[in-house]
Amino acid sequence: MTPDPIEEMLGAYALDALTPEERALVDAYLPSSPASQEEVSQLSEVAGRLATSAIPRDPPPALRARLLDIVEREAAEWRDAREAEGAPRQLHANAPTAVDAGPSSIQERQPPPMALVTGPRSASPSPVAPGPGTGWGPRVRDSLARFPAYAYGAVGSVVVAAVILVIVLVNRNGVPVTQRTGGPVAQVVDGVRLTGVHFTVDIRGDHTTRVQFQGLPTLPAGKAFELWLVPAHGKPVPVGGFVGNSSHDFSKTYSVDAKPYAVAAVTIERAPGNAATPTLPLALAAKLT
Amino acid sequence: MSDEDLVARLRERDSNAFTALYDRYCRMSFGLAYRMLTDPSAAEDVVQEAFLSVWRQADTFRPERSAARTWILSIVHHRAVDRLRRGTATQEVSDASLDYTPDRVDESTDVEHEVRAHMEANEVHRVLGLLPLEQRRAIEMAYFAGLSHTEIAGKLSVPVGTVKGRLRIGLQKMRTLLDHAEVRDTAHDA
Repeated sequence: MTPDPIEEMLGAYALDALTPEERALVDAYLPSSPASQEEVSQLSEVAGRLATSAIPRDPPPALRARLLDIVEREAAEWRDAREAEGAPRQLHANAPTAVDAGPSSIQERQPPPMALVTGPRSASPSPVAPGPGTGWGPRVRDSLARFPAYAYGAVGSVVVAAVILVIVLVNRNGVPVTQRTGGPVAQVVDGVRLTGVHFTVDIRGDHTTRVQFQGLPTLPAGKAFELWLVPAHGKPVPVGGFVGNSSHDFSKTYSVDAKPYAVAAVTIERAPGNAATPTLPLALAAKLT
Repeated sequence: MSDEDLVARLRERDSNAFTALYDRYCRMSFGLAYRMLTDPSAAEDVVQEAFLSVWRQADTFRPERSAARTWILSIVHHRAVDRLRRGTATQEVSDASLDYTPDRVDESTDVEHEVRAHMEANEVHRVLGLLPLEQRRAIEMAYFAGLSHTEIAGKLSVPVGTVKGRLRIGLQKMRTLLDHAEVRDTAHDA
């Protein structure tokens, strides 16, 4: 029996050895598989214990002094602010920036939550969608900086490289458009051949998103494609279902801003494609950040 | 006080709790960062960034998902991986990295905690040594050198799928072996 391509990545996921795109695919998959969530939790704990095999070393004493100085100062500011406001406040509020901790993927490094997706049908930006400077967005930007054209999409034994092009255009109405492109995650998914499928995602300045698919295959009766927006942290948000027309194309503008999301993904679902939780494996994907 | 209790106190900006956590894990954190980056200055930066994240983002810790120590060390690891992938530090994994020798116990630190840490380090090292060489090497290249599975496949000249399998199966074996060791120790204590 052929192993599930995403489940095969769970070890690499626990060791942080996936590309951001692959990690997003696994993140999108996990909510639908409690067994895989459990495995990730167990493997992550083992991976964490590897740290103990490194030889402990004394850091420079100045580091302790520097950290405690920052911490004491922030604690005092927090207490002052709390007294002034008479209410609890956020940990990060007005934190000094003498040492910039920078963005972090801390939550990402913990095993995923067990809850399944029950998000609303309308694809408004998720409250857990990554804001500027959070999540693994900076890592994606780092990757983009290193590679003019970023190849991704290694899943299972089938490696389908989809070149991500980022094009910023201005349409006829003067609305800026950032365009991403995507393609198949695997050549055959659920018995459907996806070779040659190509799509673009236009993230528009008016907070709408236009998608255009070309080369869509004819799906079996009772099946439809479903588009998802996947945040760097959190659950995939369903956008809408569709099938290709007689020319095997599909295009539509959705009233949703894709900018806060990390990945646009497409799965094959039961028609009309309005599932609340994506069925895996993923069929198509495009990196958005 | 447990690690988890200390992290909970960070949410109330308890700097004493931070100091206790730092003293408990600074050597392990610096050792991990140094092993990954092989540059003391870079390791110092990573540990500083990581502990400030622990301080500022204590509310993101979920005790039901992992132990506090795992959480802290995962932050250090992730920061070091980020730095490696930015290309600001380089590291080559060699078999010498497996030659773990328990370090001295610094009497100025929490002795009980240090002793436990050393015992666990020995156990993890022993279990790593029980893995088939190809699995151990893949895990070390991923965890300590911060390489992606694709990069590991390139360095080892094996298919990506093979690397994914080695990483997953290797970790599964480690878990089984560590669980057996804990059962054995518990039985021995009883």
